[in-house]
Amino acid sequence: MSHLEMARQWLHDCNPIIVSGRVYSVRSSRAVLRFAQDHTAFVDASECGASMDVSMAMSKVGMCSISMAESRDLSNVLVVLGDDRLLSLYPRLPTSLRSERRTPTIILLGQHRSSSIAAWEAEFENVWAIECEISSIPEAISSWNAFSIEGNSSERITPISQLLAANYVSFVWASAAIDLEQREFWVERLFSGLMEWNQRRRAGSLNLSGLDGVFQQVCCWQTGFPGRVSFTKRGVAYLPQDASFKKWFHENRSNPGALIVEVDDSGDPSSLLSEENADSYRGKRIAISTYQDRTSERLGGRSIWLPSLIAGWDYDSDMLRSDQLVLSRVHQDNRHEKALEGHWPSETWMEWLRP
Amino acid sequence: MIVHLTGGRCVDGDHSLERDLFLVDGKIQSTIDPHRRIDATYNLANCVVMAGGIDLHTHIGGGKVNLARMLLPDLVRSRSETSKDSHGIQSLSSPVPPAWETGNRYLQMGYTTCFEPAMLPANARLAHWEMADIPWLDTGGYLLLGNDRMLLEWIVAGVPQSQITAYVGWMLDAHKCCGVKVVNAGGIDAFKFNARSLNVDEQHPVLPITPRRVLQSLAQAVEELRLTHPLHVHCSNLGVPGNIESTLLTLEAVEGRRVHLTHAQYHCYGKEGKYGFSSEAYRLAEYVNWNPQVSIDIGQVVFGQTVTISADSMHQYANRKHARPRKTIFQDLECQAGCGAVPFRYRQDQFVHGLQWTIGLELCLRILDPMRVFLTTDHPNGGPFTSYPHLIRLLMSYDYRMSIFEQLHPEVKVVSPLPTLKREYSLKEIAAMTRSGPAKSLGLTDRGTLRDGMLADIAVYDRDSDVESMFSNPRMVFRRGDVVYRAGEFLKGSIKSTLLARPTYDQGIETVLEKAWPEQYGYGLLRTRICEEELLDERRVTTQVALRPS
Repeated sequence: MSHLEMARQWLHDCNPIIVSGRVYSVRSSRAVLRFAQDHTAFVDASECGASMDVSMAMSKVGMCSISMAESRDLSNVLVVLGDDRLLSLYPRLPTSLRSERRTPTIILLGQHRSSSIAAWEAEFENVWAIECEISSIPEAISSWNAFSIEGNSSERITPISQLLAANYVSFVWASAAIDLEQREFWVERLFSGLMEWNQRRRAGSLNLSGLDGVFQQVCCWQTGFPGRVSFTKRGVAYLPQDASFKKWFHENRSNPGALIVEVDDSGDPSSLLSEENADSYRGKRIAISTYQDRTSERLGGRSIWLPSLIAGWDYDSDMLRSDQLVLSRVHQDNRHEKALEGHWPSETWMEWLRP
Repeated sequence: MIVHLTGGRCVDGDHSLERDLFLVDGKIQSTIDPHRRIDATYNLANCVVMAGGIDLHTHIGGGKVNLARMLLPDLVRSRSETSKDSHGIQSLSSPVPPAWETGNRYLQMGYTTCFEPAMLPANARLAHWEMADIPWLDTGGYLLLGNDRMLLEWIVAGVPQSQITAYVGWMLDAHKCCGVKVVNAGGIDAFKFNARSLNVDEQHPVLPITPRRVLQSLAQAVEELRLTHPLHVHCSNLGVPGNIESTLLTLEAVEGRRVHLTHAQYHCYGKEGKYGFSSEAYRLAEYVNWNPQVSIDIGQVVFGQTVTISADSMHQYANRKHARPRKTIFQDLECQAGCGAVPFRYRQDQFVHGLQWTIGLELCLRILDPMRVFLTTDHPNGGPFTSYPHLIRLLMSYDYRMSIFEQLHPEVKVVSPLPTLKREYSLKEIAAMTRSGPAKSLGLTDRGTLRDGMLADIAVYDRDSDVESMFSNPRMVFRRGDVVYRAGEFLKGSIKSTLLARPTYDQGIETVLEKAWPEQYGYGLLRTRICEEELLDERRVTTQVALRPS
């Protein structure tokens, strides 16, 4: 029996099924949703839960946001929230926000160390670092909003006075770089504070998401929900907590009938399952990924690998910029003569696996 | 493939008469070669036959629609939870339903073509993808311009109109749209500089430019590009009491050029009376009646829960205090525009909401030419598109209209002139405002009527004295000559088309943009331009809307 036939058999026999992974293009997102619908599966393609935390916060209190080009062209103060994780996830961020037209003040608010400060100083002249507990950032912003500065006061030399006098402030952060137990609540407080901030002056949140933002968008227009859904014969249900990969795994790790379908468009050789989790997992797994990872070895005959290509590298793909606004066609960049034999786009595999 | 429709009353904007139609290879014909074999015959005695409906202003694609979905997952109801009205019509699962539901529900009313009216350039590819997932409908979009900082700065710099026209042409071509929309000209950009309003002749807080100047430049570009659909204008003071003055100034600002005023109901308010809010529908309707270059769509209010989504972030922010549930989203977007999503509940017992309801109807009833007033709710802003059968009934029956009017806030009954407007729309007029009128306005020369050679996109309704029931439940709907919906069942899929304009413009603008675009946006034209191939697959094609004769 070929791997494809075996995978089909598993999809037929197993229950429950969850589809998860790094789904980065419009086509693969559509394929994942169709696939999950066909197999009445759970879906959670939010990589580390960060984008879902933002969505959930947004659905509670709303949001006030700004896009990348606007932030660069309009803001005279950029407040960068978080810590060094931000630049490790988005190393080009200072360059991307630099404009020939404007020289904004940069306020690094949180736990930014010297390497991060240096990276910002390499692009901007006026950089201030204010140390603050990350968990307290929303309260700090809200409390500053209570003050105002009138006229051309010479007191504008301090970063806070510049912040208060700014025409437009961009609060720059990335949900995946905010490592807090209660991240969703932190985002809620930040969004509420910014909404109030806009009563007197203008400000917006430039929230950078991962490449999983595209899945959120496609999932939204196809199901009405931004992710973590469960398909049943009767329709689709939004389960922002219960359909999370983490929770699903916790509940089904000992179930030999469980099946994880891991889809990876990124070429990342690591699995969503840590080695420790793989050892305790009793169910099956189908990996649609570029590399055969170690988890496959650990699961042995309970794992099937269907070799895929990298979206936007091996073939043209429509992918979303990290501010979730601009959907670009990312053209094939891998010019190697020999195509990867037996590798196919993840959406092609999912099409072949349809019942 | 030949289908014979016999015995039905064929109603379009021009005629209402009993005649046979033949659907030949996807097109309408009144006669056929007698030697050709007829594949299917449908006896449509006691049926009304119309061209497929066309909604020229409905928010069905793009980031703002998704934002509203993200904001309001709590308003989504499962099918078992949705209610049915007295005609058995299921309510939408959400004010912003998913793509498949949008397509199904439009088809269930006999609509086959819809237009997303506010496509942000930066977000156009996403909007096209979303609309590609809407089944059954041909779709198109209007490109949002007039707050793009590059254009504003060019106007300030005094670049020649030819450059602006070329830019508009390039933008339409690159983003695969068929019309140009301007929302609160310059005002969305002004809001980014903390202006909270911007009147037609008021100067932007930073740039020496007024909305009037922006409107003139864009209206002229639309003329020079020979676009059939006029500049699609959302005026400066959406929903603000007393905004009739700036609405009329806006219409005057384009100096006799063709203009389409969208969701007009929200733009004809006075500030008289005890609540400081009154109807000025009469003035707007008179203006439209006397100016044949002006058309409008209504943006009718329907009572119930919805969500308002608009690029007009300035006014959406001001409206956030009315949000129900109390949460809102605002965005400042890419030096091109903005976005606001505010959930809203229109209440029958509330004075302002009740008067808004009457104002929309007043406009429909006072404007004499149904080819220039189009039925919309500005979905989802005024209410769901699924309310069209109900609205048609309101227009066709004075008594029904009055039965609802009687339930409104007592003060509405004192101030509204609605009871004096006894006009009742005919089926022919309904066909004009929902089919042939929008088709003509958009340059859709292949649809909107039942003339020979038109696409065989056809809705067949059982004749019923209750027109709400009639328009809610077509007996069958054809697309390209195939039955795609019959007796509540969706049948086989059909080809979908993206409608786009291919205006001629000075290609030299690309050299200018190659330099200016990356400076403004940080990425190049290659990433911006949508290739036509992106809109094609085994079930999708593109169709060019007609340009005006030179």
